[in-house]
Amino acid sequence: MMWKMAFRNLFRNKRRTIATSAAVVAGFVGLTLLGGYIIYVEKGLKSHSVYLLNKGHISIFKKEGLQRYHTRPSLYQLTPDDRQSIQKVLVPFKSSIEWTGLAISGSGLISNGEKSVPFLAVGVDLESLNKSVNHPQVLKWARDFLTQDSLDFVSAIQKDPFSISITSRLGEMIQRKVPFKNLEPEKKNVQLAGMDIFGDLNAVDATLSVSFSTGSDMLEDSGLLAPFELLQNLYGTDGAQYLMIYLNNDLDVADLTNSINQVFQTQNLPFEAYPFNDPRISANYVGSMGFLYAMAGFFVFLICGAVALSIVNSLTMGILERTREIGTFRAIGYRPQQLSWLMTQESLWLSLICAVAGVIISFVIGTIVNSLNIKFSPPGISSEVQFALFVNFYLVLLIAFLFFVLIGFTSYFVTHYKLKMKIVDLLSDSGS
Amino acid sequence: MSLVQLKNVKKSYKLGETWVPALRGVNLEIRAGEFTSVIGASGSGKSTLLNLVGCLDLPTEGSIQIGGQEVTQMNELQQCSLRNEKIGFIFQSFNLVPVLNIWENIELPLLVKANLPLDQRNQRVQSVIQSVGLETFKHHRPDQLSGGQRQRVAIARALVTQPSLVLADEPTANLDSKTAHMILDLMAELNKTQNVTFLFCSHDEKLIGRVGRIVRIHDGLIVE
Amino acid sequence: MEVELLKASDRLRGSLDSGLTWESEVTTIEDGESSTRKFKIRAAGVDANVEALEPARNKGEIYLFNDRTMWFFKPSLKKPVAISSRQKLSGQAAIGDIASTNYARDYTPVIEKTETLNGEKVYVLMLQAKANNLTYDKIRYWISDKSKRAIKAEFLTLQGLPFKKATLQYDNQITINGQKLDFVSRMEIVDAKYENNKSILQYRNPVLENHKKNLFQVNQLKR
Repeated sequence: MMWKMAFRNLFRNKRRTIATSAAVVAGFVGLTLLGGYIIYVEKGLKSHSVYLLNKGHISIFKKEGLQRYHTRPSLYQLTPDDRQSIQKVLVPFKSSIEWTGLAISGSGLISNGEKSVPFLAVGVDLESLNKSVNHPQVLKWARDFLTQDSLDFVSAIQKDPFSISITSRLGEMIQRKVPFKNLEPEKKNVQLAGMDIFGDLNAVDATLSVSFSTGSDMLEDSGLLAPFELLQNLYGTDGAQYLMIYLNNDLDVADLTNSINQVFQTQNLPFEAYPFNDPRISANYVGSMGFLYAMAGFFVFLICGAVALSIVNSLTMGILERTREIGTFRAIGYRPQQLSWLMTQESLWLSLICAVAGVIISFVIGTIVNSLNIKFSPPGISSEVQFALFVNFYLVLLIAFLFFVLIGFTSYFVTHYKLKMKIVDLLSDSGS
Repeated sequence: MSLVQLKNVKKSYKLGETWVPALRGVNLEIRAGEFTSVIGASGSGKSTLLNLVGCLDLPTEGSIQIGGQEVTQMNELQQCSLRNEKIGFIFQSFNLVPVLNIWENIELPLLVKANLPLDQRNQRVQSVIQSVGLETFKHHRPDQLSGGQRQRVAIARALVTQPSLVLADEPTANLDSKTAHMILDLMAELNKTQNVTFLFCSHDEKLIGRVGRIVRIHDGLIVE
Repeated sequence: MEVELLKASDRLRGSLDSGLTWESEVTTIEDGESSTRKFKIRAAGVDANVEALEPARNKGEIYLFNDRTMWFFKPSLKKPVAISSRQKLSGQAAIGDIASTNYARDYTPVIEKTETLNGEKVYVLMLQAKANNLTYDKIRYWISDKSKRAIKAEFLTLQGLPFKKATLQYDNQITINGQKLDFVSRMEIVDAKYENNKSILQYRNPVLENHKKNLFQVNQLKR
């Protein structure tokens, strides 16, 4: 019956209950949508980093190769023998791995026959490229970073192994405007020049096929994507800079990285594995998420504070109004803890109602916002991304749990403190 | 045998910097089955006396025994138990819970320990609701009843735990004289039929004729 | 006077209006490892055609110096690539080091002081680059008063700190209009900070030769 009584008590002062509920619902909606947005951004940036920036979930380098590859590529590349050793190490983890790929990166000059400008290139094997751009995670979460050109790059390479993809800004710098497919064959031909692993200048022909976006404003002036073999040719090597591992489940990243590194250590192999969320691998992802988490933490603190204060205020007023009633309960044998619990139950009912209302309102707001297809350019990102709000089921449960705990503790604490009054004082109080 | 025994009970309240004596050494015995009224002027200490007997407060000095147990030595849990099992309270303003119906209001004291099976609980509530003649109103809320009816609910609530002692502080103060008499008659009848000891306080001398024993209190001391 | 000094020293390093051909062997010692490359250089005035001869993987590659513009080409390319004279050739040697020098055209000289080096009076000049696309921004250059040979050089950063040092020898000779002219035979370029890292450029078999103009034209390099 106590739960029944607690529920009915909510309707004693409807105005106050509505006001308190409004604060709690607003807090719930705020956290739900903010959390949903952060989850959406996180998944988008993660998909972008793992698949579209070709980092993989785990990257394996030669020991110290992450830092030193570009100064001494001949020493820090993964030779064919190295790659074989690594694949042997990965056999026990096969069930967690979706596929592995190879990548090489470097800098150089791209020339149109008259003018040269610097580029930063990544060369990825064709199979990896194909699986990445068509991956369900990318299509679901990082669609804004994909263009039709990105999707067409694979078939372009299949037709012409010298095909490269550059950013539209880089294209403008060499006087080649998008779409590149409309250019005459003569104009599509470009040269890539760079230092090979022997330290000599080398150059290869390449064909402009499609454009792509690096996703980062900083890299948009120099981004170049090439077939893995073409860059190997340019840099005069049969080695790779790193090996990418793509997992079936990205929750396994940390454990798997540690396990792989342990095997490397145990077998004395000169390799190192890094997870995608290592700041040295995905600075943009780590930096952006760090900022968002900090902001979220601040808002959680703020909202929880506001909700707690609303509850404190509401309960304090409730106790003042029901002082004599509380005295009566005490007189007929109820302990202060039992009364605290009764009032806490009222707050928990309120939390439950507000959680349900909050979820519904969040869904409605999310649906409206998403249907408006609002686009914006986040700082440091070259393309426009959709401002989308999603309601995440697990997040809703977590926030509901957080609110229950917060409101429960706050209520119990307030009432416990307030109900320590003497019974005679409670009974003699006229209330408000 | 004494159900309630007070020995040299004193109670003082602090008002600002001064101590105000409400009871200045009260000695009183109430035997089981008595129907006793404490009469005194306003501020004489009668409510204080009832509060101390009901373990709603503790004396500054002295001893209070209820059913042979010294209440001044009890901890809070023991006092709660005593109040719930041995003592019933009837208040001047009825003190019913507005969000509960009559049945639920009466049932409240039985839920403190919740150690009574449901059917027994229902039986008890049914029994007391019948004894106060409110069976047809059991699903009504307090705001749907008259003053007299509400006080009858309060009486039923006080009796549902089958206490040995019922304390009533000015039970008829908020009632018209006709209703007041009815309530007093009800209490007297219950005293006779259920052998429940009643101790109540009132400043209304007109009700004196209906009680078995009168205790007069003046300036914090029993005078009669 | 400074400009004349520079012009004279440039001639001894291949800057002649009439054509000149020589071979260069560049030996690089870096972090204890050694490598060698060979080039054939054909120069006329401010233009130069540098063809890689060895090792085999680089054979056929061409660096073209056309006024101040530089190009790289290899037979497999459809078009040449515009590059900078600062582009590293091998070790401490930049591409701009291997061909003839035109410091008198490209730098503003100022005599800092005079010194005596191996019994010779030497002018120490500070050369300031006239354009951004030159091999070096600043050079401290030691030129012999008597022989007009550039004996020593310090290549400086914009802040004036040396990052490379070079010494030159002139054991070659060429005959122009009956007159014998010294020609550089050896240039050793050393990393100013890590002196074990160095490149040694050896200049061999310089001969006067008339070159066709199209040898220095970039559109001749296209496939």
